[in-house]
Amino acid sequence: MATTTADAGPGSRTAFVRGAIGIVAFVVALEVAVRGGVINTATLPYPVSVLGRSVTLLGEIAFLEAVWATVAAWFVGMTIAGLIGVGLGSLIGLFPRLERLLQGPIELLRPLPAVALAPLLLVLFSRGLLSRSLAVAFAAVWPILFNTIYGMRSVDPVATETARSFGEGRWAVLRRVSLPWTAPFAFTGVRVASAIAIIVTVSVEVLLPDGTGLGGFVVATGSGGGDLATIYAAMVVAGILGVLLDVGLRWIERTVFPWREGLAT
Amino acid sequence: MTVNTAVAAGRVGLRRTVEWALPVVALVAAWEALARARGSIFLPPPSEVLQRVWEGYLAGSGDEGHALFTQHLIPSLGRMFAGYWLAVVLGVAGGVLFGLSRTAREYVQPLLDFGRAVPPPMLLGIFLIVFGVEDLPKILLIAFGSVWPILFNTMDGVAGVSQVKLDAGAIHGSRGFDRIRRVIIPGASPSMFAGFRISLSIALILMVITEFVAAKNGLGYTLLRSTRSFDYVEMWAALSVVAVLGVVLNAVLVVVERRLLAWHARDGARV
Repeated sequence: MATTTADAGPGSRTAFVRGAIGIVAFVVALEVAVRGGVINTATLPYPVSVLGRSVTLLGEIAFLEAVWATVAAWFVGMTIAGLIGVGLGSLIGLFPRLERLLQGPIELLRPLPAVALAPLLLVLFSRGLLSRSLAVAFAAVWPILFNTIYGMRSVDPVATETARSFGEGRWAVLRRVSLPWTAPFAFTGVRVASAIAIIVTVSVEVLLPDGTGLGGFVVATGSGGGDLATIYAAMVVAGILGVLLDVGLRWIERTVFPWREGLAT
Repeated sequence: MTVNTAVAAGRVGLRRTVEWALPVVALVAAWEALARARGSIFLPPPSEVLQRVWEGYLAGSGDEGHALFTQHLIPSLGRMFAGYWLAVVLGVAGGVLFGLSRTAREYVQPLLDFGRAVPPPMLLGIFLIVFGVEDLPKILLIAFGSVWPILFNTMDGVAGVSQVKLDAGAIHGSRGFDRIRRVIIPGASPSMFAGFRISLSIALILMVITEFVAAKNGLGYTLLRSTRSFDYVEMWAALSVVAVLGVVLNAVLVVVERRLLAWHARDGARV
C-alpha cells in the first residue's frame, strides 16, 4: 500500500489528531441531535452533561470504591487465569500426550459462558470477591492457555537441542529456553484476556446482586430513581477504563518484549 | 483417494474420536460416582441432569412435551440469531468501509476502541428503558456486544488485502462494488470468519445474560429461575444445553468456513 509520510503509522500524529476530531465530532453530533429533539432526552441526556457527570463522579467516594472493587475483582481473576493458563499451557507444551488427554474436556468447557456460570458460582462459593473473580478467571484463562501452548510449540528445536547438547537438563531447558521464548506469546494472551476479563467483571457485577463494583453501581443507580446521566457517565468511565487497561498492557508488551514487534498477534 | 487410504483415514478419525471422548467420559463417570457418594444438592449426578435434558428439551413426555424446547430454547435462539445477523451485517458493512479508507479509519478508531471496551451488560438497563421490555432490547444488546470482533476483523482483513490481488482485479476490470464483492471480500474472508466465530460465542453469552433480567422465557430465564427455586438439576440441565449449543454452533460455523474458504487452504499464500 502506498503511504505518504503524513500517515506513516497508526501511532502517527495525524492519526491522533483525526481520532480526537472523530470523538469531538461524535459528541457534538449527539449533542445537536438531542438538543434538536431528534433523540428524546428520556433516551439520552445531553452528552455534555453526561461527560460532566463522569468527571464529577470521579470525585465521589462511593463511585471510586466501585471502580476499585471492579479493578480488584479483575486483577484477582486475571492472576488466577494467568497462573492456570501459563502453568497448564507450559505443561501441555512439554507433554504432547497431556494435550490429547485434555482436548475433549477443554473443548466442552471453553464455550460455556462464564457469566452463565454466575448463578452456579454464587451457589458454590457464596457472594463476594471469590465468586466474581472465579467467573472472570474462567473467561480469561482461554486466550492465555492457547497462546502459551502456541508459544511452547513454536520454540525452535535447534535452540532446545543446542541447550541440551550443552548438558542442560529438561527443567533448565524449560526455564532458560522455552519459557523466555513463550513469554511474549503468553503476554499477548494476557492482553487479549484482560479485555475480556474487564467486561466479564462488570457483567458479573450487574448480574450478581452484590451491589459492588461498577456493575453494582449502575444497577443501584438504575433502581434508585434511574438517573440516566449517572448511568451513562458510569458507562463512559467503564469504557475508558477498558481502553486504558489495553493501552497500558500494549505499552508493557512493547517495553518488556521489544523483539516481539512484528510477530503474529 | 484409494480405498486403503480412506480406511486408514477412517481409523485415524476413530482413534481421534476415542482419544477425545475417553477423558470426557472418565470425568463424567468420576463426577457421577462422587455425586452419588456425597449427595450434595448443588452437584447432582450427571445421569439425573442428562435425564432432565432428555425429558425437557428432547423427548417430551405428556403435556410437558417439548415444553422447555419450544418455550425456552427456540425463543432464545431466535433472539440470538436476530442479534447476530444484525451484527454481521453492520460489522461487515462498517468493516469494509473503514478498511478501505485509512483516513476514515483514523477518524473513528478511538470511538470504536471505546465502544468495544464498554461492557454490554452495563447497557442492559438503559436498553430496557429505551427499547421496552420485549425482544427488541435483547436483540439490540446481542448485536451491540457481538458487532466488535466482526467489525475489527473485517477492517483488518480488508486493509490487509494485498496490492497484488487489487492489481490483478483491476486488470480484469473489476472496480467499484464489483471490486468489493470479487476481490476485497474474498481476500478479507479468512480474517472475517475468525471474527464471526468470536462474535458467535459473545452472542451466546449475551443471549443468556439478556434473559436474566425482565424476561419471560429463554435459557437464561430458566437458568436463573431454577437457581432461585433451588432446582439444581434444572440449573445444570440448562447449563449443559448452553454448553452443547456453544460447541454445536461453533462446529457449524467451522464447517461453513471450510466449505466457503476451501480455496484459501489450497492457496497457501498470505492474504
